[in-house]
Amino acid sequence: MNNFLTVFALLLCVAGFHGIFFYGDPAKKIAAWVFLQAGLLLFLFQAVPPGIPLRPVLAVEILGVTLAVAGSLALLAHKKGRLYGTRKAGWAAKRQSP
Amino acid sequence: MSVHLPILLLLAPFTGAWLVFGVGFFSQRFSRWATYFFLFLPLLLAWEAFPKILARGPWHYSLGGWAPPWGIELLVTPFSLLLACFVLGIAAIAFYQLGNFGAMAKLEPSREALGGPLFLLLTGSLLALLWARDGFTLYLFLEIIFLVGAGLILCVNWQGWWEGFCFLLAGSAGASLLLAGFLFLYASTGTLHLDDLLAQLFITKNVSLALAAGLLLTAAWGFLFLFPTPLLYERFLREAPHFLSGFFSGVLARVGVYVLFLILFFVLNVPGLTTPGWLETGEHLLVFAFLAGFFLAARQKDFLLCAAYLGAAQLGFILLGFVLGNKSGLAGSLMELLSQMPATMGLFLAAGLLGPKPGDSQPLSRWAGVGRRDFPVALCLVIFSFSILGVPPTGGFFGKFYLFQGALDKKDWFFLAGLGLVLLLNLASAARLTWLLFEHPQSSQSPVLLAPKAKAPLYLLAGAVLVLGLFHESVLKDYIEPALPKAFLKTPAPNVPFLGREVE
Repeated sequence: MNNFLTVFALLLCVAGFHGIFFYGDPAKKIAAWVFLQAGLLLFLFQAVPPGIPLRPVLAVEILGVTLAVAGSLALLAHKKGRLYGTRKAGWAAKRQSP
Repeated sequence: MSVHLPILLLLAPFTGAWLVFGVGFFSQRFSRWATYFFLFLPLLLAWEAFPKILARGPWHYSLGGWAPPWGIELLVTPFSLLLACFVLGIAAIAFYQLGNFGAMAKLEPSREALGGPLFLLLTGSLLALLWARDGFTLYLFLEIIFLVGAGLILCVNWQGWWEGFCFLLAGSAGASLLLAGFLFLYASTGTLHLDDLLAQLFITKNVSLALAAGLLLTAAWGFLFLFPTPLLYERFLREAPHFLSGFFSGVLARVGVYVLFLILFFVLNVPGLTTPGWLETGEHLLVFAFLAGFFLAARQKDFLLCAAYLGAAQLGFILLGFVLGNKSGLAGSLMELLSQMPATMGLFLAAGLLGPKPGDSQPLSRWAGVGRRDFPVALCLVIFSFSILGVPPTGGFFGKFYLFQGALDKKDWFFLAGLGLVLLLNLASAARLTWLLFEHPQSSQSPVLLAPKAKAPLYLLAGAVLVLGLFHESVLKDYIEPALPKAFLKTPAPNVPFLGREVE
């Protein structure tokens, strides 16, 4: 295991996890979640030795899940923005509504 | 064909989802009936599988004939099959409610037709969580559940983009924690198969890793267990139809608890592993935090908020049994798991009777005098509240009885005091509700009297709570006992001596 990459993976995970809860903008939240998944993917490459077929299989599956979920999240955030006009206007409208 | 029953049980809803989706383009009525067919087909297959599983014990099925840990294995136990039947039954009820809701809220027929495949996908993924024995497969299906759940939210509420976004994001963050936990374990043991993980952890004696993974794998369920607590998700509760909130709270969260049970007692339960003091304190605090939900529920004037708090608070009973960790405690937890599913769903459906459309207010006072106008509905509410309180012969009584016995066996006075306090509070709440239903002068705003077909799901759920209590001996002996860790199989099962019959 490469210690530098492991620490980097953990940092990505922590930064991503923090961002999911503390960013207000949906786009930043999605980016934070992608960071979290990227950290896990990097950690996977550290954990599974090269040459084992499980490594690419897991990597492709995690990548697939990340793309599918991030795409769905982006679609939901985009539709929400359209529903309330612009995204910022939507936030403002929601804050003012009871 | 009968040798492939486990995979057929799992494939039926998944295959059905695509067929129903295709059929929906041509005939919405046919698509509706096809959804019912594919929800009831696994129940028929389960009927076929029960005698075999009860006679031979847990059924190990390797996908494609690849033996674990290289291949993916399904493990169907009597308890997980019974739980699957509950999941399928409640999913059918939720889909039935989708039809009623669609007619009332004037949903576009295409939306209603899309609800069927989504319910089938959700149910299939829940069954996969119950039976998959592979950490990565669990992660994949958990993600599918959140994706489909967000789809369902949008399907019933076109304006629910934000609710769907929050549900998917928070759920996926939880699923990522689950993946992180399994990757931690994989890094140390080189396997993802749940049974193999326990063996490898025992060989490596890596206690600190088991603890770290345990924390991640437990934290992964935080979102699901708290959903839809009004403290965090009041907007969702107000905007989503009640049957969907009930399905998420009653079924999704409870299936998550079962997976947590498998992880804690069949993966991380390494012989010789002692729990550090700080973790034991943390576990107690976690249980009390969930049980505190009963106090919040008792303070609510709105029935929907009360049901939502009760849905999360009841998980405290199940977690309490996990923390006790002895045979009586775990038997109580599993009994609670079964009885809470219909009771929680029933409470949400009852809230739907008060104000069927999302956004309607559901003040508790509208139940006043309903017992005199609509006795069966009032009786169902009494059964649900008595199950939460723990009054015989409901299923909830036996769960709580075993939990009390477990706390006594372990001499855990904190839990005994906490349980006693919560049960006293629930006694007061149940008494208040019963008085409101039967004795209170009729409210001017009583719920609209609905046709019997709209109330039928409530009767079915109340019946399930009663049946669980009436057949508790068989449930304990045939289903719960074989589901416990092997170390407990030789110790005697808990008794209910004052009912005149011994369980064993």
